[in-house]
Amino acid sequence: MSGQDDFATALEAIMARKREELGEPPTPEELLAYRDGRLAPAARDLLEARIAVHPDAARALADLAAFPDVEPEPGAPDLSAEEIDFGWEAFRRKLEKLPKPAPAPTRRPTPGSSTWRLAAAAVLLLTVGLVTGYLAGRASRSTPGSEVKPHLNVTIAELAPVGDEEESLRAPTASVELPPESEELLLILSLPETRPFASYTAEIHDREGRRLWSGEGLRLTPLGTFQLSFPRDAFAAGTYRIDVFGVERAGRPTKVARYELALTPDVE
Amino acid sequence: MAWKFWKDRRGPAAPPSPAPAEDEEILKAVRALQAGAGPDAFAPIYRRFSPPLRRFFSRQTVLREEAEDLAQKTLFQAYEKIHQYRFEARFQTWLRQIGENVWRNAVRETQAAKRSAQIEPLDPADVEGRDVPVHLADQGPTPEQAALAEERMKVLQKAIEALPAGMRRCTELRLYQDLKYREISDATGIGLNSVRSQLFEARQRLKPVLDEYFQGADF
Repeated sequence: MSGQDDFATALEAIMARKREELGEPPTPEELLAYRDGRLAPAARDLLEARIAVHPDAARALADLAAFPDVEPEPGAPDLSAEEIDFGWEAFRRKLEKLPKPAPAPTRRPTPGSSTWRLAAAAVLLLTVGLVTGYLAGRASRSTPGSEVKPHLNVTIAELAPVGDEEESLRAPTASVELPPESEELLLILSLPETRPFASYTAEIHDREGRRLWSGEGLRLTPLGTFQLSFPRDAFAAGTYRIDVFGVERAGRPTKVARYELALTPDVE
Repeated sequence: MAWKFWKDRRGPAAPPSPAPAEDEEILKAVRALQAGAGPDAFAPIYRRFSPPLRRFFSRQTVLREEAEDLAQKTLFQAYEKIHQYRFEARFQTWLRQIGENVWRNAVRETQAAKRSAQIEPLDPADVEGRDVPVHLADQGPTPEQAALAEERMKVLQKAIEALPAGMRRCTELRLYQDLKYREISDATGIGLNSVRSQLFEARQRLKPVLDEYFQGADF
């Protein structure tokens, strides 16, 4: 045996011993947390030791950092241009069987965009306010002493759905600040493209998952949104999750969208 | 914070380089798909990213056999979610995130399957008509050889562990995993030149041990 062979053997033995001592290979979650600097110093040091003796771990980190310039494995043949073409043809056939990807809400100022939706909501509110005011006037004339107070200062927040399965693709939680003079919070929920349902229900949960509110019989507006309106003191400051379900005439509700909302502390 | 710390040590960030031509082609494809183009518009994305995704998955031992499927799954999800791409990060970063999710789930599923698999111990009584070897001739090292190997291993391990933390980390990745300098840099976030100088210094420090116990072996 040469010195180089002895060296390789000693390294193998050290690795085997350390692997036994340090336990399982790091999970992808641990590696991603390490890469993103989310580990405490002690956990980071321990993980570094594990990475050092589990070849796939360091390799994964290196490959992800280099992506898409991932080097082929030594000795393993890479795909030829013909093989990629062949693969693409097979892949394309699969794509053709799919429905077209659901379009995301666009940010351009076209009808249906947030600007237009907000404007439409404002007009709607103004109309509601005027009608309410008119009715209140009539009511006060017919029943002296009764008082109807329209909500004049309304905070409007448009929420986009967040993904709930793939954390790194999640849209950020919408942060909403209610100014002190605001009397009402109007949430406009834009719906991802989905098959139509007979009706919809919504639930609001707090951070611990407790259901705080649920409502049935929601209807889509012509702009493809839902509108939920609450008095400003309905919810304390905090983070909330809103789930919208589609309901068939006979059948179980199907979750169609999830939203996250953070009400800032000055709401109280 | 290790990752960020090392990144900071790389010095001020270089000015962003102009996007390579192929990135333009990719962005054009994304815009077309978001505007409602059919699957054919996805071709440049598939051609560009299918090989590196396949390489990534195939280099993970536990996923090697399903590398092709996982690469396709990643691209499939990218196609389905293409409207969620907002041009705020590079497309390849967005796609890599999808790949990371596919990777996480695949490893989780593989480990769960492994845990649930029951391995029955082989009972010689069950193997009818076959000779089950119950003893193999011992061809291992002699006690003296084993003792020498053990001593060599301990001396080497001690020498490696005596290296300063950053240097040790580069050295371990080089020695235990045979990573290239670039790969060590990518895995640790340490700059390429720093990796080079750390390994150069490590060689100097380990040389006496390598000369005495391993006939001047190198790495």
